[in-house]
Parts: sequence; C-alpha cells; structure tokens
Amino acid sequence: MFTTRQFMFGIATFIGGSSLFTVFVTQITHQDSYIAALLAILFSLLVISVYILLLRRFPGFGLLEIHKLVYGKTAGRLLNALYTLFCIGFSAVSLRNIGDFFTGFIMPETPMLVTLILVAATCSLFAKKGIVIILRNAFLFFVFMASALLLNSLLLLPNMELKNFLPVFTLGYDAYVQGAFVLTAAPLCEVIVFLILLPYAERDADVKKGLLWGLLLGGAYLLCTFLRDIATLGIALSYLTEPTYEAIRLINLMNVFSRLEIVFAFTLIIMRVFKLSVLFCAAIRAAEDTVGRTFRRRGLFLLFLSVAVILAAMYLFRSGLTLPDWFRNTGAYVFSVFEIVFPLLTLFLSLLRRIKKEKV
Amino acid sequence: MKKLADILNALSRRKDAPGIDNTPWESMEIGKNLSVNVKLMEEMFGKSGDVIFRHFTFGQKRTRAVMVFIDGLVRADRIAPEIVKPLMYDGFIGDEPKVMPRTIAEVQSLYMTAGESRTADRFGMLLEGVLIGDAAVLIDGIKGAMIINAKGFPQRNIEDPQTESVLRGPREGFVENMRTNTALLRRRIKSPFLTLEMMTIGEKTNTPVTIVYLRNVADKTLVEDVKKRLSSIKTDAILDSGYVEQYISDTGSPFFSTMASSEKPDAVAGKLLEGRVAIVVDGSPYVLTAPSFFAESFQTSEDYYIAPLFASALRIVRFSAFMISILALPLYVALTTYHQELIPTELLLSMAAAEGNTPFPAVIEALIMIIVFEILKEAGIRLPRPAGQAVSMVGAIIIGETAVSAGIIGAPMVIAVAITAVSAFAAPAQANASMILRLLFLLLAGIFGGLGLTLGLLLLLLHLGTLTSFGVPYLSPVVPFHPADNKDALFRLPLKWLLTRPTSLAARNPRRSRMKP
Repeated sequence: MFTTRQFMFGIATFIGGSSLFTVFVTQITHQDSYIAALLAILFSLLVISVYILLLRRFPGFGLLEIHKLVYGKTAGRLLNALYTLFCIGFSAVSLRNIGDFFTGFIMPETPMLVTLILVAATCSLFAKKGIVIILRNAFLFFVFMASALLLNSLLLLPNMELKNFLPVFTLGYDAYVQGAFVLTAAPLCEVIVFLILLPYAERDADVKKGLLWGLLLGGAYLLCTFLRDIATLGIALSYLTEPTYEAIRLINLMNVFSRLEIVFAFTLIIMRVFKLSVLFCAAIRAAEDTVGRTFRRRGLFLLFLSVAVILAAMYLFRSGLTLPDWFRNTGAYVFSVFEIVFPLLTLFLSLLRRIKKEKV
Repeated sequence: MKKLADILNALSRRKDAPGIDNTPWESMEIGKNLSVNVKLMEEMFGKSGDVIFRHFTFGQKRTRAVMVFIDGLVRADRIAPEIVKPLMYDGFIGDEPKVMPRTIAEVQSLYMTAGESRTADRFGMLLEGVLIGDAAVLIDGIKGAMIINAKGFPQRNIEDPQTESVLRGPREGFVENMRTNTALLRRRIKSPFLTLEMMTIGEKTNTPVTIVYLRNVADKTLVEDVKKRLSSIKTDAILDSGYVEQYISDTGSPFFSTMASSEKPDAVAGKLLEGRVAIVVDGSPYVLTAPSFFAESFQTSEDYYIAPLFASALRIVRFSAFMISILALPLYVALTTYHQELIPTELLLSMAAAEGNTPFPAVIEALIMIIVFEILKEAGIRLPRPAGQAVSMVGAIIIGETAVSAGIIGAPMVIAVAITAVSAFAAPAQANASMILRLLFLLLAGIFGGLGLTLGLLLLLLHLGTLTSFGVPYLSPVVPFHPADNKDALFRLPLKWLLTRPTSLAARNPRRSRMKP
C-alpha cells in the first residue's frame, strides 16, 4: 500500500518525466511558453477538482470501480477497456518520444528498436514489482529530478538573460489557450492514470491532498524548466526540436564541465522509465478489470503489453519530427477525452443518478 | 541384565537408521543403576579417547559414583576441588550423615560447592552438558545426574578486530567463545532489560546460539520472528555465524546480505540500543544483527565518537567509494566506446594516444584487468602474509608496468582499475556485492553504453527497493522515506539531536534521550 507522501511524489515525478514534451508547446507559444504553463496549471487544477469531487463521492474507490458503478457493469468494463488502450497509447507516445531523442542526439548509430526494447523491458520489470514498490521509490526519483534541474539551472546562470523573455504577449490569445490545452493534456492531466491505481493506497491515505500537491509540484517543475530554457535560449527555443537539451548543451564551466546534455539525457531516461512503469501498471489494472480476472502470469501479460507498446511506438508515428505536430493537432484532443470529458461525464451522471458510495 | 541388553540392541538398531536426527538417548531417562548408565554412556560416546569416566566411591557405605567429562573441554584444576573433594571428603568428615541423600537435588544442596550446577533427568541433557564442557556426576541408586559447570578450554585472547580497525574508540573484538562475547555485550549495556536467550542449533554440532535484545526496546514481533527463523534451521552443522546468516536472512538478493555482522562489541551494543536483535554463535567472532539496512554498510562505530561533520563526510566518502567501485570502470568503458564527445578534448587526445595501440576493445581490456585483479586479491588474502605481499608486488609490477609497456593494456585502463580496486576497500561491507555488480555493469556498458548503464542502475534501485530485512525495507530510511530517521543514515547529526530511535525498529519505545536539542 502506498502513502499520501509517496503518492504526491509519484505524481510530481510522473509529470517531470514528460519534460521532453515541452517542445509540443514551445513551438506554439515561443518565449511566452511559461505563460502557457501557468495557464495549464490553472486548467489542470479545474480538471483535478473534478477528480477530487469524484473521489469524494466514491471514497476508497478507483476510477475503474467508479465507472462500473456509474455506467453499469458492461458499459463500465467497456470504458475500462478504452482506458487500457489509453494507457497503451500514452505509453507508445512516451516511448517513441524517448526513442527519437536517443536516436537523434545520443546514440545515432544504434537502431531505435534497441532503445525501445531496452526501455520497455526495464519498465516491464518495474511494473512486475507493482505500483507500491514503484511509488516507494518516488521520493528518490523526485530528489534526483529536482537536483538535476537545480544543478543545471545553476550552471546555466551565466548564459541566462532577462531580455530573452521579451517581447511578452505578442501572440494571439488562441496560441496561449492552445499551448495551455496541450500541456494540460500531456503531461499535467495524464495523472488520471493514478486514479486507476487508487485501490493500492493505504486506507488512511489522503489521496485528494496527494493529487493536488503532486500536481502543483510537478507543475512547478515544468514551469521552472520553461523558465530556464527561455532565459537561456530566448526566441530560439521555438525553432529547436529539443529546447531543454539544447539549453543544457550550452553549459561550459572552465572547459571541464561541458557536454552535460548527455547527463540530462540519462536523467530523462530515469524519469521516463518511472513514468512508463506507472502507465504499464495502470494498463495491467485496466486490462484485468476489463477481462474480470487477475492475471496470474503477470510477466506474460507484460511481455504482450511491451510488444504492443513497442510496435505502436515504431509504426503508428511516421517520424519523430511529426510527433509534436500530431500531438498538438490530434493527440491532445484524443487524450483529453479520457482526461477531461469522461471524468466530467461520470461526475455529471453520478450526480444526476444520485449514485454515491453509501448508496452502493 | 536383560533390560540392559534390550536397550543396547535398541540403540544399535537406531544407530543404523538413516537420517540425522536418530538420537535415541535424547529422551531416555537416567535410571538408578549406575552400571547400566555407564554402559549406555560408553555406547553413546563410542571409543572416544578424550571422554573420561572417573569412577569413585564416597561415604562409609562406599556408594559408587562416576564423573564424566571431556578432556580438554574442562578445567582440570576445578574438577578435584569443586566436584570430587566435596563428595569424597568434605561431606563425610566426622560421622556419616544420618539421612543419606536420595535425590540429585539433595546431593547438590548438601555437598556441592561449585558455582553453577543443574540436574539432568534424561541422557539428552547429560550429553548436551558434557559436549559443551560441563562435567556430569552419576550416583548409584539415585535417579538422574548432576551437571556441573567446569568449562575451560583454550581460547583466543580478546584482540583488536581484524576487519574493523578504528582510529578512535574501543579496540576490543569478539572472540570465538560465545560466553566471552555475551559478557563483552553485558559489560557495555548494564541493564536488567538486556535479555539473552540461548538455544542449540545443528544436530551434529549442537552449536550454542544466543539471541540478545533489549526487552524494553526491541519490537516483540521482531524478536519472535528471529526465534522462529532460528528454530526452523534443521541441519547437522553450524560452524560459523555465516551459516546462520544464510539460513535466516530474507531471501531475494544474490548480491546483498540483509543481515549485518560485526566483530566489535561497541558496534553491536549500539545496534541493540537502537532496537535491533543480535545473534551470537559459539565458535564465531562475528555477531549478527538484524534488521540491517543498506545505509548501515557505510556506517562504523567510530562515526559516533568523532565530530558529526567528519562522521558525515566519512559516510559520504564510503558511499561514494562504493558507487565508484561499481561504476568507475563501466563508465570509463561507456565513455571511451560510445560517448567520446563527453571527454574534454585534451584528455581525449592523451587517452587516444595511450589506448590507440592496444589490441583489445575497452570492455575486453577491462574484463581482463578485473579478472587478474580478483585473482591477485584472492591470492594475497589466502597466502601467508609475507608470500601474499610478494604476490601483490609481482602483480602490481606485471600489470602496472609490463602490460602497459608491452602495449596489451592502456595506461588509463590501469588507472581506472586501480581507482575501482581502492574504492572497493573503502566500503568493505559491500565489497562482495560491488565485485559482481561491477562485472554486470561492465557488460551493460560494453554492449549498450550509457543507456545500458543507466537502465542497469535503475534495475539495481528496483532490486534494492524490493528487499526487506526481517520485514523492514532494506533501503530504509530513504525508501520509504522517514525524515526523522535520516538524522543518522547517510549523514550523522550531533548526538544531542538524535533523540529518537529508528521508527522502523523501535516504534514501541522510540525516545532515547531526554536532552533538549
């Protein structure tokens, strides 16, 4: 069973694990991306309040159980099957993203498939141990992630300039809204997968508090990432495919501490493994709920899951360069259905039909 | 006589029976007939030359008695004045007592002067006593036997511990004698709550084992768990605490031991005061403690005797040394094979000049060097000290000089291996783990570069995160995170601030100091 604190750090690290997704936004809102990030945090707080209302109505229940209560067993299971696909889809996007990054910048001679297999295998081993073990390590991951951000921000201080934030508010409001929406869809409201895993929370864990503070911590981490990148790169970040990587590349301390971007890359791998492991765990739970039985041979299911995610990551996206574009125009909308529309609908229906845990 | 013949037949039949637990005499009562008893004992001990049967008579009725002991396990100077003389002479000076003793208890209270004696009504108890160095007295016409503590066998003096040398702090080390070891602990914790529970393990070796804990501090469930695990050991031999450790540790790790061992009484006393349980095994100078955490591997008892700043710095040095010992060589291989761009240009040029002419890829070079180093280390440890030094010297010259000048190994590789080797010795508690992990990480780095190394580290973290020591997470207090317990984990705050015991160990009695920080 996991505690409130582990839950909170788990959510924060999960969000931090998507810091490569900043490129989805920087190409829209350029040097004003931090404004989009602030707006996204506000949007996410609204969405999170829907989650919290749901959890208040059904204390001790996870998202999958709530679906079955509100929609009935069959429709609920159908919806849970869709959430299984959602987890697989998000895992595929995350895996492809890291695969592209590694093949493009770190190990260009190594085929992407090797990277994907290695990362997916590691995540499977994590997921096999279960969400409780993963979240137990969440604090350590968070400290690692925050220390890396602090360290490279400090080392980048000589390269930062305040004028890089100028000009401000030159874009139309629709750009900010779109940027905020994309960031809300991924990574901020991706935390809905944690609602699937709530049955593993300790009985006295305050999951609502954990959810809220985890989102704020993760949001703050993303905001700091944006601020560091903008202060370092200015308007140039909107033309780069990996702004964070390019920013860290500028670190040069006495000609000894240079090329630290590779350290960032490995930090990113660690955070991404954490994120994918959580997604794998959620996928297992959702699949188990869909078929109505617990998988005794979890390793075998994880093998199938990994293969499915790797195949999806390899063949659903034509090229890494098109991924940000696809996510901005399609992915964010598809994922927001699972993150915003379904939870809102579930809350609305439960209010309408006056379904509460006590009544159940 | 028929009865004796029956018993002897039964004994000889049982002796041939398969299995290690066919000890028929264990539950057999010690009868009144001395001749039968002696015959049985002779049968039990076989023809062992060191088992002495000292026959004597006492009183005016010339009552027959026999004293049994093992030569070499008892103190000869205690046998005559404390056992034989009181029976043969002191109790019978002057008139014969009007009431002759009829039970062993009466003999004990009327005649014996020995400090510690007890009665045995079965042969099992008698044998157990004699085999651990007590003397047994059997009297004709009286049921049972008297077991008198007369232990006195040669033992090593208390010396500096061989593996835990300190610059400051006590220099006493445990020895092979269990009683001396428990006395060393008692000398440090003069509390009536210090509890020592004895048991015997090993059906052939009958090794005495003592469980030590502080009754008012240690968690009851932990103590019960330790006892249960010890009782579950069904084997013929326990020759060292290492046996016990392997039998009762939580399973799950081929790399890490989830029980700590120490040669230093002050270190074990410190752990007992934190709520841990110690296991003292007769014949072993290493006392086990449980539960044990990963962070403990980088702590020494000396850390508490010096200023907290230095203690914390030393702990960080030890932890860093462990990390260097498992990562330095794989990192070197990953950098030179896959990520050359990370190396500063001047350094890269000099490394290229040194490594350019070597025939093997970096990973093979590293493997060769590691294997040679491990061989040299093993030879240096096992050989007599002067020969061991010679081997080390020859190895160092061959590897350090000849292999490099012959162009087989690059000089930077030798430096990387040397750093690795020295670092491994700075954290001796994890030296075995670091040897295997280094090899695994080396293969990962050689095949997949930095990516393999990173994923390997993640898997190591996952592995450590799943381990438990007697039900407590092995990575405590970092994973799961207990802020209060981190005052004395990788850092050591001033003693004045260490007001509580680790929460995962002594939740029942957490407060250890009434001082105000």
